[in-house]
Amino acid sequence: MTSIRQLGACLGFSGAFSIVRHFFGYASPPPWPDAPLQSHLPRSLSLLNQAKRIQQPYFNLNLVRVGTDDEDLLTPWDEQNVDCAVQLARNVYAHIGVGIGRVDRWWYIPRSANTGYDVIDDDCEADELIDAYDLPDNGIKVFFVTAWYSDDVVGRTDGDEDGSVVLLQKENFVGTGRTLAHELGHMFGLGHENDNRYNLMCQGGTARKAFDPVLPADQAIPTTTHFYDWQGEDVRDDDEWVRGAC
Amino acid sequence: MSPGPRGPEATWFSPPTRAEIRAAVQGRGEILPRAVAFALLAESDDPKRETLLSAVVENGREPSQQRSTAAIALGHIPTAESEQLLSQALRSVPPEVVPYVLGSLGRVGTPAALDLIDSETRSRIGAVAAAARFTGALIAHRFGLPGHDLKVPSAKKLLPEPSDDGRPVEVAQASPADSQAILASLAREPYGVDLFPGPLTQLRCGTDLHTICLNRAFVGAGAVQSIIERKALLALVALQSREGYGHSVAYVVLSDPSGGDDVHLLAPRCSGRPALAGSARVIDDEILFSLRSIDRPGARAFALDGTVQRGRVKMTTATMSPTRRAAPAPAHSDRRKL
Repeated sequence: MTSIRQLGACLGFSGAFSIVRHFFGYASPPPWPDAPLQSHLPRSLSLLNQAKRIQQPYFNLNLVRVGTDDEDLLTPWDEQNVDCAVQLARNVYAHIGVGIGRVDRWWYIPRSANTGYDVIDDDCEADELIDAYDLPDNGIKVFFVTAWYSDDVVGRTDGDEDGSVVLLQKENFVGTGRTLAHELGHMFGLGHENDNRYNLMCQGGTARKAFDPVLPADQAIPTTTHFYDWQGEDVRDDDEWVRGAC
Repeated sequence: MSPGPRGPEATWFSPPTRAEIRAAVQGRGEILPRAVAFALLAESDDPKRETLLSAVVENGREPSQQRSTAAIALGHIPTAESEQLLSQALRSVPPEVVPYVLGSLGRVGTPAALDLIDSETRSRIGAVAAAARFTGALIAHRFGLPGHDLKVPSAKKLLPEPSDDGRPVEVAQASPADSQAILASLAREPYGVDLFPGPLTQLRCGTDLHTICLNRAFVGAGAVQSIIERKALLALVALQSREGYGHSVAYVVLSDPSGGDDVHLLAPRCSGRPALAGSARVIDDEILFSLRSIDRPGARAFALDGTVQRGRVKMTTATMSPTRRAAPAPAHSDRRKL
């Protein structure tokens, strides 16, 4: 049986490490006190589940929080939203036998840097943000932003599949998690599947609107996060981001 | 009021009423996220849309992020009232909001706003000064005014044409229906120019689809020659949304006479960040152009050569590098415990 220490070493942690901050990669564990009242939000973490998940093919994440304050942090609910989104994405990808391994969520772009990226104006600016920063190539690059001037867009993966930008939806943590999982699907080369409202790669609004009555936001996971078998195979076979089992 | 069709990523579904949108804009409603309400209000026919948005921009008790987003929304309303309210805001908003106000003035502003904008070019805050320079240039090019020149990079500052490893950029022509949809999308993104309705040339890079939309003022016999005499906003390049409906402006193509039959070309991103530069030559009613990527962190080398004649863009070279220039990493710190 593989020990947590051995699994930690597989993810690159040497010496003592924290289960929540390093092994899971979260700032704080669930339940997240500032989360909205939504069903299907994680209430606890299972070390056993996470250990099993990285003993399957897995990928890593490098997360950048955009528009942090003088303490290098977003608001408490935004910070919790980041962690919650990753845990929800972990649950979604577990269904196809793919884990999310090491998560480095401590990259940040401070508001004081006046980059102009703390409010995303449009898709073009999201692309600029993705291009403007390099991160270690050991994980998928995802930027979390807190404002996006749009009435219909909450995430974007650029045309080169260099990285993704995800809006932290303050009142809809499930939506943030679903958007993260969906954009990660694009990073694995998956396109839209708007004819299947249950599929992760159906666009979020289209999927929910296809139910009568409209699917409540907090039901979006797990109802609209299924995969076709071939999509699961495509993700597991991805040779850019997915690694072998620990 | 009935807002337009909503995109696939919309998180609300029944059309909100005018009262609900107003309430959300004022931070009172719980139905709509505020940024969504700003966008819906800007697109609506609400007679008070400018003043409602301006009230957020001017409100010192509002977080800067909300003020900035409301300023962006004002830049989507091409009215004299918007310009006046944005100009007024320039005198009162804090420095972190100023670049957003300037960005919006660049879209809807007229030469009347230039003095105010010019005063911001002297700001000690780099982001403010840069935004002011771009805003001034955008207005000057749109109205063909002297001055307000953007720095044209030398050939040494351009990335060389991708060599053997270059990937072709797929070139196609938009269908009439697509062309109509693209121009309808751009109508919601005012830049004060009337766009030529087609045929529209499209460039596909990966999953990104860009469409070149020419300024109608420089299409047609005689009109082309005018670009060797005056600055011009020659074209907008639209990017198709992947997760929403429609298209938004990704690049603004600016031209500046450089002597004889030649012009400098600059194609910054819509934010004003540098992207492509090059030159063009006017021969009779035809423009021969050449654009290359400006060398900067994160840039990908593009080589785009072609011609423009009678409103039709034809590409003779369209290649891109498979890799990008290195870019800096963001800051990193995990020392803080929440």
